[in-house]
Amino acid sequence: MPSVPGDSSPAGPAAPASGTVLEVCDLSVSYLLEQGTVLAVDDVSFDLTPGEFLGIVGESGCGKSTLLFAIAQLLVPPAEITSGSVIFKGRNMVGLTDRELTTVRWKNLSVVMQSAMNALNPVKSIGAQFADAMRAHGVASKGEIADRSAEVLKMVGIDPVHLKSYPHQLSGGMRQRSMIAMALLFTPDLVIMDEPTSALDVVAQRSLMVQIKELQEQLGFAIIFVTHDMSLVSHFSDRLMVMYGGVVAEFGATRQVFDTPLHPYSIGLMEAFPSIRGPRVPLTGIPGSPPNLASIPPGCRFAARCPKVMARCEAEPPELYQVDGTLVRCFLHGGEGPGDD
Amino acid sequence: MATLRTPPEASKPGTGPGSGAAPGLPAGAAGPAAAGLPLAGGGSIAGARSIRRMARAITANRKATVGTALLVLFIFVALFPGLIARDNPQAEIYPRSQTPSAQHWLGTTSFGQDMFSQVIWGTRPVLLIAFGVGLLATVIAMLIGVAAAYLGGAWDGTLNVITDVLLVIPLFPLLIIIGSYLHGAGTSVMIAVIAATGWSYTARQLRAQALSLRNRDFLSAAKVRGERPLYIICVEIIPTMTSLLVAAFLTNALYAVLFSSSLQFIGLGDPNVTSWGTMLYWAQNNEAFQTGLPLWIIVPGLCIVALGAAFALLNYAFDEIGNPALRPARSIRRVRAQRAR
Amino acid sequence: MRFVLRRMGFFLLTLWVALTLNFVLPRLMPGNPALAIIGKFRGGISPQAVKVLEAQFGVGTHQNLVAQYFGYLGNVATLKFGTSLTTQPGASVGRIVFDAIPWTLGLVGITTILAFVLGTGIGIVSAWWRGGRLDSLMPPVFVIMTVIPYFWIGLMLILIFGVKLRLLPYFFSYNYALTPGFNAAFIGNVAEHAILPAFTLLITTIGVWILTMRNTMITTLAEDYVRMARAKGLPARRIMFDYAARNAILPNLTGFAMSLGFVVGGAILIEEVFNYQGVGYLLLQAVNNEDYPLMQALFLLITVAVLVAILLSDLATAIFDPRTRGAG
Repeated sequence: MPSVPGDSSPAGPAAPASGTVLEVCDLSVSYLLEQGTVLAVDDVSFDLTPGEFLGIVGESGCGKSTLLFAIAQLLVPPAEITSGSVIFKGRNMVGLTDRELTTVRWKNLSVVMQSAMNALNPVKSIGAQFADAMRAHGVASKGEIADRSAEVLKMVGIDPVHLKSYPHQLSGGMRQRSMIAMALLFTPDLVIMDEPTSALDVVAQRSLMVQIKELQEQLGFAIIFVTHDMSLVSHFSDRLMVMYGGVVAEFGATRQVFDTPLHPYSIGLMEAFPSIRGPRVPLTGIPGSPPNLASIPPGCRFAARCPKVMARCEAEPPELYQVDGTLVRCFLHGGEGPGDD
Repeated sequence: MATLRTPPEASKPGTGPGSGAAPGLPAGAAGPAAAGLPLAGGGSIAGARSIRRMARAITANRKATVGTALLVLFIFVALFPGLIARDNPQAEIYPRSQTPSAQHWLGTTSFGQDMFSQVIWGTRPVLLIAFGVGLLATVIAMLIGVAAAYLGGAWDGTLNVITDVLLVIPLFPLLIIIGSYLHGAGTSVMIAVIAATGWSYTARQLRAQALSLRNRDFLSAAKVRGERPLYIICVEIIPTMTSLLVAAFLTNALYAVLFSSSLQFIGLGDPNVTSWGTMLYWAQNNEAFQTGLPLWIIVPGLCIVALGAAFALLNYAFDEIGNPALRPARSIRRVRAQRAR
Repeated sequence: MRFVLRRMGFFLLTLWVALTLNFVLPRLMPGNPALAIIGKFRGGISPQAVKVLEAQFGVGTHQNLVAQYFGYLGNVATLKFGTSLTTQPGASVGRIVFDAIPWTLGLVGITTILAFVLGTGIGIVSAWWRGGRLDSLMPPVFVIMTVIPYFWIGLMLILIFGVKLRLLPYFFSYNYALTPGFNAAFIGNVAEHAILPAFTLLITTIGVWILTMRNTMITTLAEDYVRMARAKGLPARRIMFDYAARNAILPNLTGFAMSLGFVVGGAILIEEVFNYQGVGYLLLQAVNNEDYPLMQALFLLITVAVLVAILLSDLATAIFDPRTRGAG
């Protein structure tokens, strides 16, 4: 069940609620620049159960990638987690050093990045990079390394002969899949994916998603999948989180969020995607541009572009309100005063 | 994840590689204004904007301020040497080989010349050569580099080969040989020869940047308007490259100072012109150290270092302005402490 | 493979340009320089030397320019560089040059490699440990180091260690009271004489490597594959060397080749300051004595040396960067 804000304790390792693999509590991330602080992620909370597929969608700059890196503890200065906790399998990872994180990294939590061309070391062969990961976690025998490497490549449908290839020698689709194979070397509990399909064409995207879903059902790992392509992820995810301007705008079961979006932003996103079935309707976009995160406007961050904006929206920021199991950050669905339902 | 990057340059003594915007910032944040980067849209407007941005960036960066201050000091001394040193630097009228005293702040040479006025009056030829070569070499580099980039095809190939060959041929030995055939070179000859042989490095840099601009929209607009290539090169492309042109000027000026002093030191300058290099030549030939006149060697050398440092610091500051990732990384703690005040 | 062949073609082209420059330059100068020399030595030069001079400088021949040119090229191809006019009158230029090469090779070769290795190492580490107070201070210091004239540093070191402290010798390649030989005493003496020149060259060239390596490293550290390596839980040292440095060093290898021209210039000046009997010192002697055959031969030698070094660094790039190899 999605957690209600205000309930979770922000600091220190907490005893995990039964069966959660990840608990993110009130996580905030800022970029400390000389010109000012940019609040990229503001107070995000959610839980993840084993084997769950969580999709996070939003436009560029909404903070979804930053959130991802914050969870994986891969932020680089000037980015910094300013508050909140990330409890992975009962242990708060915020504040741990790289060395302390080594036991968790890759064995339990792995990462797949957007562009394999950039994420793979261009001067090392695929096999060498697989071997690096395994050796870092205690697998020493060459035979074991070779066997496991071949195994994961076969899992994603790549011929193990490509272990000797360099990244630039593989096609885009193969590169992405080999990255996914690398992520599965230790069959982790959670795989975090940052727009792994964005660099591919539509057909390759589809086949990659299907493969990912199959592997998930086979091996049972949880996935956090970040993308800007809502329609793509909604076919595969269990729950969907819509982010806007660094905050959670809407969060609930995928089917619900997709079929009956509540937040005006989600509604706008839906209407921006043409449906291949159903009646032909004129496309409406969402006018305006995302807020400047260096100087956040008071009130709701979406107010400037919202077709249903009210006077109240520009004065005070809305909280997350529960509607039928979905969380929405909108005064149309909660808070006292006019417009309450 | 996509960031804007200009094509990577090869590394070079004295300067760091110039590259594009800071990686890793969320696209929606108002990140640090990337001062000095050429903007798309309109030739002369971008030029004026770049200059204003540059002025602001200079005062903000400590290296730039020190460099500018030194340069201004030297320019002043070169323009008004008579204000500072009354004596004729060539006049051999004083007692020889004197150590510093009230009448001769640096003492006298073994010919009986006042060393201080030699240093002061020697500033002008050095600066003339520096600015002369800086200007001339940069103009040549600009014409060749931009023409190669814009005209493309066989022109590009030929100009590239010429540039590369000149880049590879050892320039100092070549200058020595030319100087030897000429039996010594005065100021204007030196400017011509150094500029004629030393333009190749900056030509490469300018070509690289021109290439990256070639396909920008405002150039296509100019072509569609029917403008001729020369017009496009001069009025549209070049003003957008202001910051790189300034950097090229600084590089060439620095190179000119070092090479001309070295040539003068080995006796290939004009012995009748007083400049720092020729001072060192005479000092060495008169065994300054052994005869107790170390200042004869120390002071002109320090001047060369100071002038060179001015150019180099400014150049380095320009690199930092263009690539914020290279700036000194203040630790997060310090930024927070600053913030708290 | 194609990459190496292309580079060799470029190598030959540049060599040809250097040869042509050697041919063309004296003929461009007002009044052929060699004419003056021949006049000075009226009758004192052997007929073979005169022949070579004719080909090199076009003096006193009735051949047209093109024939002279090919005659000159032919001479170079058969290693006929003529005899020294004034430096060691009558001695074969080839011989003189050959004797000087080992000194320069030893001094410059060893020091340059040392500077590159040390500088690159310091650059890598300084990029990795960013953010301290040193970080704002170091780059300007190194920047200033790169603008100090090579010869001036040499002179300063002579002042401090030679004249004032009298710790190290600073004149000539060895104590010329000793007779050269492959014994420990002589070699030790040579090494002692080489310390100051080598140190000078080291100081002036190391700053470049540190700076460029640091800057490239900083940019590389921000790359995704470094972040990925962190995500995989790889130990810090492996990330620094195997992922970051291996990629960051590639532009430095190319830069190494290009900077050789500057190093050569520096070596010439340093040999002059220390009277170190290498190729650079010889060149300047030739210049002072207007010994043109010797000068030209040395210019060619230096150019060839630089080209060979560039070819080697290109090979190194091909080895370290799989993207440059073949059709992949």
